[in-house]
Amino acid sequence: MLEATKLTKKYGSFTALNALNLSVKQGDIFCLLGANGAGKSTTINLFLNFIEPTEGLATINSLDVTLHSKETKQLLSYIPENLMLYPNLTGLENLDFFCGLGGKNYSKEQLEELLKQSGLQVDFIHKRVSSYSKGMRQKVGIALASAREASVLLLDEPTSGLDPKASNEFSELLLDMKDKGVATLMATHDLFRAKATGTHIGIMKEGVLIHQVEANSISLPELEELYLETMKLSQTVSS
Amino acid sequence: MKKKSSYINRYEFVSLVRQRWLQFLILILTALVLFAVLNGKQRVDQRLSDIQSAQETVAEKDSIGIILLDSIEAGFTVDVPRWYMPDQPNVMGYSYLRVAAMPPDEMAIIATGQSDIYTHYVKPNMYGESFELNYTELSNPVQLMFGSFDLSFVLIYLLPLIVIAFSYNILSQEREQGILQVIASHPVSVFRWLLQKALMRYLLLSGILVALLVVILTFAGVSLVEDFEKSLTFSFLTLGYLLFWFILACLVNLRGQSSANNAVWLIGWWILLVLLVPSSVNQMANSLYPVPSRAKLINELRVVNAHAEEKADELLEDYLRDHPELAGFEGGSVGWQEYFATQDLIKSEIQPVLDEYEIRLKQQQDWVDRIRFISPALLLQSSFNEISGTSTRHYEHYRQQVSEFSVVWRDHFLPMIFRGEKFTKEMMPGLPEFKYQHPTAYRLSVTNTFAVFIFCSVLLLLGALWSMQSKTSLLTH
Repeated sequence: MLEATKLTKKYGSFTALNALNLSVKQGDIFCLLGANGAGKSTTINLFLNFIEPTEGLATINSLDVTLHSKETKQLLSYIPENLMLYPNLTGLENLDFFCGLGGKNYSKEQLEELLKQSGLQVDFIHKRVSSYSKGMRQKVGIALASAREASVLLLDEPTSGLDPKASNEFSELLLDMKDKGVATLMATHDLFRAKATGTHIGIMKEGVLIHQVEANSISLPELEELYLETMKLSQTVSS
Repeated sequence: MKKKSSYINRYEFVSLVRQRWLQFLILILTALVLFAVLNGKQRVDQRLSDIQSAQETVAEKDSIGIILLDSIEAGFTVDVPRWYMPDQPNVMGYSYLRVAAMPPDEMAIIATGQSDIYTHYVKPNMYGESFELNYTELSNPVQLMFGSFDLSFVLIYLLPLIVIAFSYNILSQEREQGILQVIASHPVSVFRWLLQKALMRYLLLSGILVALLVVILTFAGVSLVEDFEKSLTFSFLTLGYLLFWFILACLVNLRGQSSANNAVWLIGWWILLVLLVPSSVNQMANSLYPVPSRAKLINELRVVNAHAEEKADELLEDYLRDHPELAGFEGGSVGWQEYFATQDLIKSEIQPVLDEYEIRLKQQQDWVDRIRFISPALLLQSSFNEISGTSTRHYEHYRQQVSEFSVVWRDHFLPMIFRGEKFTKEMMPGLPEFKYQHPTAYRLSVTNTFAVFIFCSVLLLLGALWSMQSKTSLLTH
């Protein structure tokens, strides 16, 4: 389970994230919406312990990520906007390498099966990643999350730039992960995808989580209206 | 269960093979080491050949001398000029010389050192210019320290460039490609991942290099087992130096800058440590302990010579007073007697100038020895020269032996000249022979090896501290 308590990140006088309170339970997909600079990626970077919070606490399974970085990273899997893999290695070799870094050992057959389950075309499994499209790389990312048996998934705009088919396939994979009880925090600009896959939706502006709703309690047009209204709010609201 | 390090090693190796780095390293290192060793072998072979040729000339001349002596002693008239007659001790002392040679050490192939400015054999005769003057061309012991395309040049100058090309982007490449964030999201520290990756590359390069050195040096006739201690020191120094450049590359990468920026920084360090520091040390040695000019020495010698010639009669009397064992004989050449008498004066008068030379050279060398710790390149060069037997210390040791031998040679004939005695065939086997004595073992190379590894440890520590500071900049930009 992911939890942020008054999580704040400041860079000098600039506040990138302001007292964020957030909870993502097992089987939840929490979608963070917001414009560029709203604090979505900062939130994910804080959970990854790439940056340290100025104030507040970020925990994964009740473990402070700054104090238990190794243990919390053992629990999570991260897929950035553009998952980059070693171009000279094949998809299978990349998966084997990153599984190894995560402390998981699989046979070649098991890795092939994981890649197939993630939807990667069979004839690409043994091809070098330099020949992969972005969607194919994201599928390797999902295979990695499955292989690592991650209980937490952190996604930073994972469907950005994907064609609708690839985006849809990715969403289905996320729903599979949800069914397995994975807690997912996803930063996205895609309202449609957030509504379709998310269990909870948060709208951020200038480092503040302005709205937090359950996905099934709001229709897509309502979500769009809420989002646009939030974006129109004066800067003073957030402060 | 396989360790994380085994995954890093395995896929690092696969990546390097697929990027053709491994093939490039084998090719470039083979070419460089082979060329350098062949150059070194050619130089050593030339040195051996020169010494052998000189010894053959001496043997040939001796056999002619024996034939002449046979004829003279049998009462035949020999058709040679007076100044070639071997029964004259002054002729023997001047023409029938021994070779005072400094044969190359077992590992002389490694470093040219001072061998390209010093001679390796001389034939000291009983008169003529003082032997010491042959060495006054040397103005600075580090002046020609770096120069020939030998193995030490490849290892000290070129190897760091290969390490830089191989590792300038060891972390920045992943960072620029966005892979570093994915790696950092795993339960592995970026610093440890970097170290493992660098260690893999280091072991790969070291393995290739050591294999090439063993094969090529053995092929060139160097027995690495015969002088195992030197071989081991040479290996440790080389591997330590290699490690130093790898750690420096990691440290520069940890700054979190672009690959291009890293390359510029590393080349800057290379220029500083390999080019600027040694040349500055050379300049400073010259400035702090300037060696008197050779012109001054020659002028002084001429003045003393002229003065001595003017007072030759008086000097001979003084000389005979000091050497009563040579006085009271009839038949000796007065001219030669006066000559040798003046030589003592010349030597004593010129001695302060020669001493000044030696003192300054020693001061320069001592200073260089002390300051060598500021650059691993200096540490390596002084060690390689020491291991190869081409250091200033080796040549100074040889010079002293030759000086002593020249005195022994002269003193062998001097009483005969003063007594007016003839040289006979029976005296031939009793002629003094020069035997080169290797200088006593010097622990400089071992100290330098430790110093190189201390450099590495300090850098590693800095890297560990730096990695804690630079985590954010590495992962979020």
